[in-house]
Amino acid sequence: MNAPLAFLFLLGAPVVVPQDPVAPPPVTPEQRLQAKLAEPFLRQVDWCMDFDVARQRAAEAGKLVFGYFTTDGY
Amino acid sequence: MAGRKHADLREQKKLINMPSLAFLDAEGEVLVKVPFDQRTVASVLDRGRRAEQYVALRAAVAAGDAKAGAPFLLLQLEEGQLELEAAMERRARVGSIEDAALRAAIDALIVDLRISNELRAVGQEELHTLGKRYYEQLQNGPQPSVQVSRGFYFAILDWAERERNTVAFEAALADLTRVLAITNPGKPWVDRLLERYRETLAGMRR
Repeated sequence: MNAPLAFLFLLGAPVVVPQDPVAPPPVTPEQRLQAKLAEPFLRQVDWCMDFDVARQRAAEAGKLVFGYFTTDGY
Repeated sequence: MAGRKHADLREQKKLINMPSLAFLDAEGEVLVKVPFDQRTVASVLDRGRRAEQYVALRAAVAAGDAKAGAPFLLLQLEEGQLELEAAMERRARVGSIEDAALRAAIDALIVDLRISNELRAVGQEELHTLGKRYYEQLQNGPQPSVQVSRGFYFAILDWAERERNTVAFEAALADLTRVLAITNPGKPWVDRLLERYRETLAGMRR
């Protein structure tokens, strides 16, 4: 069947400092989330951050969802 | 993240690794997980193909294709999606399986599931209470898969040591040695563990 790896979605928050070396390290969960989202590996594809939307898009396209589940601090 | 939509989704989906990677269908059901130690591009693609296979088999079973029942059951067992009772019910419904390798793989995973449940129920301190029956199982079958919890062997070894049954202890140790050579080759902790058991066996013989 031809239903491959469809909509990617990312849920949660995580770590890692932004690319700007002079920027202060992220402190709040929201800051850590934004820092994580700025990482190159996440910017290379169009991640959908809303699980319901990812499911809806998968249903419309007849594809699966590839999910990356994480949480603050990872 | 707390306060965000679907903040508890990972727990809902029983995805314990951090982070977890998984293929889901449009209903949100987890079909196939990407194991923690298989996070390569090739492996993720392979797991994606497995998820597609899952969807195809599920649809075939729903359409009444009797031949799809056994491979779909195997896939679900391998993905850890079935509790023991459900697995046994499904196994009974599938009936006889011509393919001997497929049948053996399914039955071994159901044996593993039963053993895992029993080990969880008794806990570490009471492990030996399962030992006599597991020793009989080791001798007569059905055999667990090599992936089964080491608790199966620990239970026999605990029981055999208490009973000073060197024959049972030696048999369990030999099989544990064989299994660890497959599942954990070259690991230093394996050598230490087996050496401790060999010393125990030597002590039992004195």
